[in-house]
Amino acid sequence: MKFAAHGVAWPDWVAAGAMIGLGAFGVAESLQYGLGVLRNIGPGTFPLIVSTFIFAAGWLILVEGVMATAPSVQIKWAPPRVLLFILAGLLSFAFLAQRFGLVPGIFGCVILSCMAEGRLKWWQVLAIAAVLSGFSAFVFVEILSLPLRLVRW
Amino acid sequence: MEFFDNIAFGLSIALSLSTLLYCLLGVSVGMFIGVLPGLGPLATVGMLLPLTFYAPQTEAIVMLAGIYYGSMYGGSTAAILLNLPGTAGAAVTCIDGHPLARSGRAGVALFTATLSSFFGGIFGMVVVAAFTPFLASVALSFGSAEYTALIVLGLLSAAFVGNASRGRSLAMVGAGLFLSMVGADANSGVLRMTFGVLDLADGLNLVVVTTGLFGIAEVLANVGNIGKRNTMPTMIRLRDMLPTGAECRRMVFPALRGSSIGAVLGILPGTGAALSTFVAYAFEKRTSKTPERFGKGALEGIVAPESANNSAAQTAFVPTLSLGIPGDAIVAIMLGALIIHGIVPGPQLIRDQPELFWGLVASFLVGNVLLLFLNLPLIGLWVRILRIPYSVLYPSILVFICVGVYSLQNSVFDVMMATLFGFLGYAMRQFGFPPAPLLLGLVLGPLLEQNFRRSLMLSRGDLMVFLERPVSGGIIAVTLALIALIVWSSWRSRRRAGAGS
Repeated sequence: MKFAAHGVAWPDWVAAGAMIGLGAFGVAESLQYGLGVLRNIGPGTFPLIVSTFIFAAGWLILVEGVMATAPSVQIKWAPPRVLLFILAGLLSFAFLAQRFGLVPGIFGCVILSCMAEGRLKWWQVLAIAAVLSGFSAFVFVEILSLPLRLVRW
Repeated sequence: MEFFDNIAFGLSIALSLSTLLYCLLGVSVGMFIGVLPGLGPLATVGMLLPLTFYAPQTEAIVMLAGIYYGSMYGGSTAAILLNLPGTAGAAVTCIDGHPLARSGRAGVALFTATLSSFFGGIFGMVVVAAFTPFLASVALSFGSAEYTALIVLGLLSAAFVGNASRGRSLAMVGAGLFLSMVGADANSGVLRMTFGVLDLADGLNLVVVTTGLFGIAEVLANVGNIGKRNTMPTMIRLRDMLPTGAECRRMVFPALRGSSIGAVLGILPGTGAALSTFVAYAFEKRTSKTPERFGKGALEGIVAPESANNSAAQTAFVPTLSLGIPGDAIVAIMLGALIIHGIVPGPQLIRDQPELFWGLVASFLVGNVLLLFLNLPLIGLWVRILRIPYSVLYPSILVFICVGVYSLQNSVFDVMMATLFGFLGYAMRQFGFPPAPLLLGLVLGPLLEQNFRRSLMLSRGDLMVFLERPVSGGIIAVTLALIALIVWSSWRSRRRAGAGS
């Protein structure tokens, strides 16, 4: 993608826009919290200062983009497969660990996240999951005696 | 000599069996993750932070610190053997380290890196032991106005000195401060930036944000990219590692210069080990009589950055333990660990917790000696660890993050938040936003807000308090000078670039 409007590369537009947006949103939010008076500032004052700062930094990114002679960043996303399976692995841990315990959570996370690359054989994947389960059981439950359930049904 | 008495007192703690074991554990883990590309000290310290809640406080900090400086040793191994930095602080070591390895002198390069790291580490330790008590005694007279000014200076220098664009770094400092406000306001109890989500009322957990931004985001960036290499490092014998006498003599001054640069940049709040390597390397090349040797396997090109990053990894503790303001993002997490253990970081820390401070300082000495042994006779072990494929490593990293975050409070919400920050951090990096300033903002945000409020309360709403108090006014003057310097230098380099083209 070589889209560049007004001499600013598109990643700079996105970056600046995101920060200007966050700043503007923060200003609007902080005004609802009550600013107080200077000798006893309210919960909104600090957020207001910080949000204004972010807002200004967003414009600075834009200015830098205008002045830049070369593109500031090269954007190269990971393949969708990687993003999707890592996400699935993490969420499967969240889902399984609470309902069925730590060990199913670890197996879910390992099996799904290994599919992101798909380079390991299925027995290797299961071996990793088993080793990690054993290690977690030993460290977290045996040594540290954390209130974590290994398996529940 | 009071200094040596204190060190001896510290050694009596650092050499006790339990502290020694935690220290050995810390430096071994640090060495391990340092050797492995794709797993840095920030993510590791974040992941292991929940484990330290159950350890005694001194041991916990000794271990976390060991991970940090241990990773500085380990980072050079992959840099030299594979031209792939094991940690961000070792990127510069590739430049001269890898050419040496290709010409068959990998052993010498590794030996040099270890010895320089050791020198830098000990240099940094001495600076910490000598300078921290002094700085703390000065800081005893600091009020909230001085703290406010110092934190602002620290945050701005964190944003200004990195390689990323200034606008983006500043925005990340702001974003960190923004995230630090999430949850109930300490003074009024008003819920800020929670959007009705009750789980956010206690604020964002540091572990959740760190493991997401640095652990998960790193995995997303690396899966499929690391591990396609087919050149495997060869085994190295201790016999092949010794440099010649002339080479040893050439190392002395680069080591001193590198350590000094590292010490200064480590002490400055916000600037850390990774940056110091770039500065030390550039400085060494500029002062060298034979700059053309750099990049082709000059030993000085290994000595300077490796001594600098180890020195900086130690001196980053100076502002942390004397002022309560972290020297860089990794130490910022350890500051969080201290607070969780009920220790108030600040100028009183050395007086109130002498066993913690001197035990930690002495553990630097012990840890560096341990690392020397871990590195030289056992180098073959670490070379073998380099063969662990990333395909095995990354599912393990994800599991450790999940279990670590989940163990905080058995909360699925925390795991989801870490996931969210992982993807957010990945997207941020794609658009050139550096994540480290965000972390610093997140840790320092509550400190900044509290001190800012308190100053205004004490001055009855007079904003001039920040300028009228001499120390605070001085710090603000330094801050303004820093901003002026940055603006001037970027204007000058732009003019040069314009004249050149």
